[in-house]
Amino acid sequence: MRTIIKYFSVWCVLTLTATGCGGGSAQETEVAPTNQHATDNTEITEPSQPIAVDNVFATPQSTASFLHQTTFGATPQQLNTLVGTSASKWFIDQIALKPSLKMSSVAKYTPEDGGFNTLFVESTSIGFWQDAITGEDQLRQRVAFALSEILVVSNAGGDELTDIPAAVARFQDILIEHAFGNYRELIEAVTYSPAMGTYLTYLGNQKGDEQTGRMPDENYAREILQLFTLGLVELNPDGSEKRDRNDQAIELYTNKDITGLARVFTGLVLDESGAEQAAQEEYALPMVGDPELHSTKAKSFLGYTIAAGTDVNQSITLALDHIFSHSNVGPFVVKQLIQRLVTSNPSPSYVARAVESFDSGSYVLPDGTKVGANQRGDLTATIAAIIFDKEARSEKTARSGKLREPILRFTQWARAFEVKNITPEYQEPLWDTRSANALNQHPYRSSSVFNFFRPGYSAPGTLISQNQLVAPEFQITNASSIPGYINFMTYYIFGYQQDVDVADLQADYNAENIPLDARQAVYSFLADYEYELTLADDPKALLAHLNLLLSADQLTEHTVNKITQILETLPMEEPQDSLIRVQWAILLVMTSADYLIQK
Amino acid sequence: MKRRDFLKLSGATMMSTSLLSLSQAVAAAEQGEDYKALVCVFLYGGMDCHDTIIPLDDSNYQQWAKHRSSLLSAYPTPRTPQNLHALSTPSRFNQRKFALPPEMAGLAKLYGQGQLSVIGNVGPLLEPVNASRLEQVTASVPPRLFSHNDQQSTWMSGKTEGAQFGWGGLINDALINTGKTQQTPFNAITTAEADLWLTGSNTFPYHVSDGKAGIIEILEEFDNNQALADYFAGKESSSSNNILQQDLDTLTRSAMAANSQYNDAIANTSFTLPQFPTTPLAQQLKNVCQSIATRQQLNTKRQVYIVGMGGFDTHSGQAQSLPKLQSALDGALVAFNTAIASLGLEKQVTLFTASDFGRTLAVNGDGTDHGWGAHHFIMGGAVHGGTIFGDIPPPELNHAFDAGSGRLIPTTAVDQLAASLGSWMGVDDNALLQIFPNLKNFSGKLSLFKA
Repeated sequence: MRTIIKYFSVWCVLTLTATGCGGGSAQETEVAPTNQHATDNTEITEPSQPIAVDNVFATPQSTASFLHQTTFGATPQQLNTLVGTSASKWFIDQIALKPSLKMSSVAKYTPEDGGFNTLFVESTSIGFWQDAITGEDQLRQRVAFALSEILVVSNAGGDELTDIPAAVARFQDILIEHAFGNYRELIEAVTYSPAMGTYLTYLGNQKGDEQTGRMPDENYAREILQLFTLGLVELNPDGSEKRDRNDQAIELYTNKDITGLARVFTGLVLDESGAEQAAQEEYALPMVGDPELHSTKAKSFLGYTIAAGTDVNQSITLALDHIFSHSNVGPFVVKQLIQRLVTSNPSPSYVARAVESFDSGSYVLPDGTKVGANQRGDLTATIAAIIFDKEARSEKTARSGKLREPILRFTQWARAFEVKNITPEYQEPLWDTRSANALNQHPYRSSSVFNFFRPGYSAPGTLISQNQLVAPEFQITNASSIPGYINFMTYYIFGYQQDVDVADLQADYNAENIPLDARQAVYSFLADYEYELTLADDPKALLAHLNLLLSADQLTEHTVNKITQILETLPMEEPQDSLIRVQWAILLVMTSADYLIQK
Repeated sequence: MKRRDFLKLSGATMMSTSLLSLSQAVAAAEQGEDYKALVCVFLYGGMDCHDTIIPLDDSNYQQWAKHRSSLLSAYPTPRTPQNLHALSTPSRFNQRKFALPPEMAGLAKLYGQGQLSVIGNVGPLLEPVNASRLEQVTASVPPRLFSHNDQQSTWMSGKTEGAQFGWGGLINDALINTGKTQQTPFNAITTAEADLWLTGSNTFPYHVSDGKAGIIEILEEFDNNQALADYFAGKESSSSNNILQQDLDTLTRSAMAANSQYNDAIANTSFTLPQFPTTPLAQQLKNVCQSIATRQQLNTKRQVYIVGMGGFDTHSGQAQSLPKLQSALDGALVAFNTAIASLGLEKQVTLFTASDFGRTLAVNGDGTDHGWGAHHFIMGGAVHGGTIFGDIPPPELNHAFDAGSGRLIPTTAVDQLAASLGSWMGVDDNALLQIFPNLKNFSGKLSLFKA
């Protein structure tokens, strides 16, 4: 089905080939540093005191560091305009921005004749890349993506969630719309969504039947507890596990709780009340109750009983209220959000501080502005507490940071270099980036409800595990994916996407009934590196610029020197040599360990 | 040189050395080469045991069909007795007979030929348990039963998610300790992401996909690329006090070094494998065969492999989805068996299946829910073929090994299966007791292998 472009079969011959790399003589070019950012950076010292005034955007470095956690990548334009301004104000402005939604992407690519093509199927991916890279509502999009790795649905299965893109698109929109809302309401919207109903198989789930021995499907009952709200064992407010007298973790429920709760999630069906509406629309509407299918028995779980005869909507409300009232919800959800946005191993006190905001529903921004609706589960307050915490901003240790997710590395490239013509519809490599020779990860397409990686993943046999730390993203990092990522980035950084054969591509579009003009593809994702080219003659300045822009000055002097040495062996004779040097510089930065671990 | 030309050229070089290496490999096997490999096929999601080993004698079939009635009308090939593939059943089962589903004709044939057996109702246990002890909470049972990730982890390591060592890795550690093999990067290979089972103190998972180790494609553009190769291989990275970064550096260095070693080994060996189906599982098993064929270049005498296949969490649509999965599993295992025989290694390679758990006998409408014990396959020329090890509880509810709704309480522990496999690989009994401390609570290893 997806055979239009095989990336890396592109013939792009780099000019370097003729001369090789590593053999040429180093250029000795002395150029005074012209990069304002680099100069500023030398004066930065990390504040050791908790933040009292809004100095988050005090320097280019502190601004970039914040934006790398809270957006899909810092842009030069953001750095130019935000340094020295108020991060609190930025936060408030971001929350006020109109959400960029994905259903419009589905509508745009729905074939007019009711037909079917891969462009339509991939409209959820196209919408994701589009808004992740170009959306103004960056914080909202970024938080929604983080939520999508906790409240997981996936269109990897080739089932309805693949064939009816509106299902996952609407689910994406639910996360986007609730990103600054309340977790209790979010869980309810998720519970009623046909995407989750399909993914965890409770759409159409029937009550039990003693005659035939039929039991309600337990799938959602189990995973809403285990993955979406409570986890498996009792937690302290700081995210650590409670222990019993024998120093054992305390399990929260048994299978009896699951079979009891499973009765709640019976009798949810698609809303087919609209006359003559397409499946497309039904999967974008909340599911509705069907009294015939809903269990009329009492529903007992977690020490609570919903009386016999309670209808489906009321049962769900009571069940979600009871689950949500558990003290685990804060630490369980908040710790994972910290892991997605800031660091794999937050200190217990960091978790506790953010949980306090989750529970109180309020947070005071660095400039004194209070945010949050004062209700438990408020995500605005929670997100603010996470990203403005001193441990997110300044207090870094040898345990800080996380491995950047491959998806975020790619979006970061596109944003950092203000890549033109963000038209993912022309980028078939972006329609499915799951291959180990791509990103080993694709948005809304993990292989199971357990996400691409588990929050507690601690790679066996590592220092991480010896130190009782975790590093979820290491779960998708291996001997295949490490070179695979380098290959994927090479393709985009070096502009192979501009080398498509227009005639071939158009023939493929025609064959697959895709209404696109292949001539546009050669301009798609065009990186001209306009500013970087002005620094090409001065590798040190180029590196200083990239260091700030891509990694908030995390590259060590050693790494900068190593990259500079390699760059200096590249010829600078032909007009295109400058471009090639810039491209190499970006690839070498974005594949360095200094960059990859976001501290 | 253009990338495309590069590939053509290296492909041509490979061809010319092919026949020689193949004959060497076969000759070595014939001379009693000291080599063994264990291959775990992990079936993610929890394969429905009740829909894999199906009762065939009339009364038990009827009983089974009654419980499964709401599914039975929906299978593309009806699971009627005449469509099932009968298994010759050991006499201790008396009048009870069993069969494989219509989609597993190939495995049924291998069973008949004595190259495959069934292990009945195996699952994680700490000590023997039955329904009354479970109900009265007088038995120790593994924590976090019925939870996917935790039971995957428990199958692989005896511990819930977060475990550090898996028994595949620990078996290989023990073999290194006694000199039966040496430590190489290629003792433990995965084509999936199931690193845990393969990890020991001196055994680390190595990942291959598409039959080759990863390469950095842009380096292929250059004749002289040592500086870049060193850079990408992490040899130039700065020392960092950050723990995650130190591990990333270590991982990158070892991965890149192993990748180049592996690709050299593949390039210097040639072999022809029989056709494999195009399913992802079959392709992974093909990769395993390629790797096994390269064992001498990889310098390893014992290997543990894990491959994976998802989709078995059939809460819904089981009658549509499970037959397809079973068909894919059948095709992949049969092809693997043929390929291993073509390498002359049928007595030196043993494959077994594992899964999160079995499933309920009770139906939830159009699917089944999480269980505990399950029935599995073991395949290879060293195995006592054509039989059923352990027990298969009746297709009823509320029997002595029903944890509720027909979730089977295992009657054979994973530790018993694992220790038997470890013993075959060459681990002595003392070491096995260290790896599997709960083994002493059971009746010992299974007699899975011919003397």
